Amino acid sequence: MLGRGLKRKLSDYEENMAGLSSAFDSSRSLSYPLKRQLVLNMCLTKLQTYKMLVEPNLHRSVLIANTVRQIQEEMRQENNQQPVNICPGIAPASHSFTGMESPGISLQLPSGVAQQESHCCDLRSVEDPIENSLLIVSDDDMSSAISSILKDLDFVEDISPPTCLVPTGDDQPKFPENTGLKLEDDRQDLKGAECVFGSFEISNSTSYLKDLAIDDIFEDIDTSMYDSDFCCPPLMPPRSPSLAAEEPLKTFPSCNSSSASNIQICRTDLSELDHIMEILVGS
Amino acid sequence: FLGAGGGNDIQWCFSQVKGAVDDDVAEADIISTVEFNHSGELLATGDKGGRVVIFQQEQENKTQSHSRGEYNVYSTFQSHEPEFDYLKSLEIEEKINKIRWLPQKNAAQFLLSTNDKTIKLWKISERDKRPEGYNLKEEDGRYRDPTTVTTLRVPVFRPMDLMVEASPRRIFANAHTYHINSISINSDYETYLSADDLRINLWHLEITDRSFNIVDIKPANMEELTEVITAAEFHPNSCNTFVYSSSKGTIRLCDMRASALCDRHSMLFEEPEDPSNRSFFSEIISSISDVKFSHSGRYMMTRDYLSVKIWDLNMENRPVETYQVHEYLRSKLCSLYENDCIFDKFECCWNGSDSIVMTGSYNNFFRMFDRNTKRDITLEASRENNKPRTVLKPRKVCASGKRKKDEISVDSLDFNKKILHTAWHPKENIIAVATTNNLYIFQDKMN
Repeated sequence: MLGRGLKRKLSDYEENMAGLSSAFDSSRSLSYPLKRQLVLNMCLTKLQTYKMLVEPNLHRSVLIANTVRQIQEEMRQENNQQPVNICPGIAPASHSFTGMESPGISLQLPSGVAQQESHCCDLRSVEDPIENSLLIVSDDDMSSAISSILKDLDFVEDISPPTCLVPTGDDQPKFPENTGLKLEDDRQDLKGAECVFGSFEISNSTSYLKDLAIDDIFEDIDTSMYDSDFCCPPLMPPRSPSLAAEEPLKTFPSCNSSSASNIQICRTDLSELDHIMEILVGS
Repeated sequence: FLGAGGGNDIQWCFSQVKGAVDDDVAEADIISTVEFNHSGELLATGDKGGRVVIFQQEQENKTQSHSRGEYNVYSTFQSHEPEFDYLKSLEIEEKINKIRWLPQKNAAQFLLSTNDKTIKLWKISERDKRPEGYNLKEEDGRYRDPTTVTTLRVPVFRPMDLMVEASPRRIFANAHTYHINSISINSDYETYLSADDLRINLWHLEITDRSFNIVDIKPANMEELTEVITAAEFHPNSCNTFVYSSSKGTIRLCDMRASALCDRHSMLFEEPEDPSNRSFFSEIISSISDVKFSHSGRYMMTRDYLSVKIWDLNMENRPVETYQVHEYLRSKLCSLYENDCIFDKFECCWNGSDSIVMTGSYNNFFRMFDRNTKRDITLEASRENNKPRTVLKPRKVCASGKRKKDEISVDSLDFNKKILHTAWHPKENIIAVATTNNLYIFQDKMN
């Protein structure tokens, strides 16, 4: 059997976590917010680990994502009830949370935030060492962790005519602001043929392709090889054959938003388009 | 709990154990499914290495009236091989997730076995005769020189040593994007369903190049996904009815006559949450790991992380019976979440008369609940109790406080020794219990 996923070395982090879980279970000195924070961090760590696997487990990912959503909802309600900052960790902390974009999770809080938190929270002594090993997580970070693992599962696993791969223009505002970077990271993670085609835009509504008639590009090119590589997902025979022709187009997410980050991605796609054209034309 | 003695109580005795004795478990030997056939004469196991081993019960010996026949290896074959999906750059595990037997129609036996992606129909047949005395061939198969053939001779069948052959008759592939968790044969014995995390497909046993999608819970946007399918089964008598369970603790009963795509359930079984037991892990532990109809078809049983529930098909709003499997784990959920044990998928099964249900636990313990007497028992599958006809000693876990003699404390439990797969003979009190890499067979004491 081939190996899968990454091996983790037992680290201080894991030993800390095991100790923390026991503390949670014995329910002695941990306050509720801290317990919640612990569970949240465990969830995010697991999701992060799953993202690094070739094929994350869908069932577990959904259960963990739901736990994060539950905690997120609770924290939102608390925030609504108490406008004064009880826990600055809840505030959008783009500066304090670098863990999600980078492969590893940084466990050390930037010193500024640690001081901020210690002003507001009423927990001390026993909980300080625990606090210092927990991440501060913002609402946006929770959302992006959830979307990122679920989107990964879709991309990697399902290549049958997926309407879900097409974030329409309406969906764009949903992504947190740092998605521009994330999309590029995701693209590097993509496997197989769809990796190259995944971020293509072949829709007449994009600005950068306005002057080009799509059909002209492909007019005299034999795309049968292109078709067979891509249009034969060995799945779901009951679907009507007429859909098959539309499949390649449907899988290309549109990026017809005018945001700068998306245009940057589209420009990179253009050079990939050239590269593909070279292969197809055989020049 | 059930003790030894008592008129109607079953006294379980060790009968056999199959598998390696080493503590070092080879990963390929990890048992992943156990299933008796419809008569109980055959017992199939599947393992992580993609192999199926079938045991056959010896015919009862008239002189040995104190025990039933032993199970011996009947056939071993490689059902699935590891595959690599080049398009998605993914390895497809050869681990056998489920085996289901077809009822016997002729001399051969048929079973369905499945890994994450592909279901196969296997024919297991016996050969105990072979033709001898060909006119045109030598005994070793070489053709004779035609000029030496001067007489006509017809081959006759002569007995030979029994050979059991397994051959794949159908391969049902390429219909599942996600991992198959269940297969279930319809009572019409012509169709069957296969379920993965998000979809359920209906197949005809004769047709491999197409299947019908009957349930699809995949949302248009995967980010909205909050629930997956965890198990599915056809009703034992009603060929248009099936159920599927979810990761949110619900069971949906669907009628295939209602519409082609059964996305809208006919009935939804769900128990309201007990607010006093609410925790961060409530949803995770409510995820149903197995669903099984009773033989009668009147009830169904579900297994979630801490309990077994019996549902009357006429009552959707709560189960009629709930049995706690290992309630002492409720106070350990964070640790069990941390080490991923909370995601273990335990199966459950009914006895032939639907009066007792059984399921596994940790430390190689397994539990039985008598629905009539309301008594339960905890037993252990261990080589230490391996004298045939010795009655197994009941076990008890001490949840808290002072541990009595012979009790084991929660913290001493070995969470690596889990019994996920158990099976009960359809007619007799014979059970098959799988530890990580060993198969135990227990029988009731016959007097």
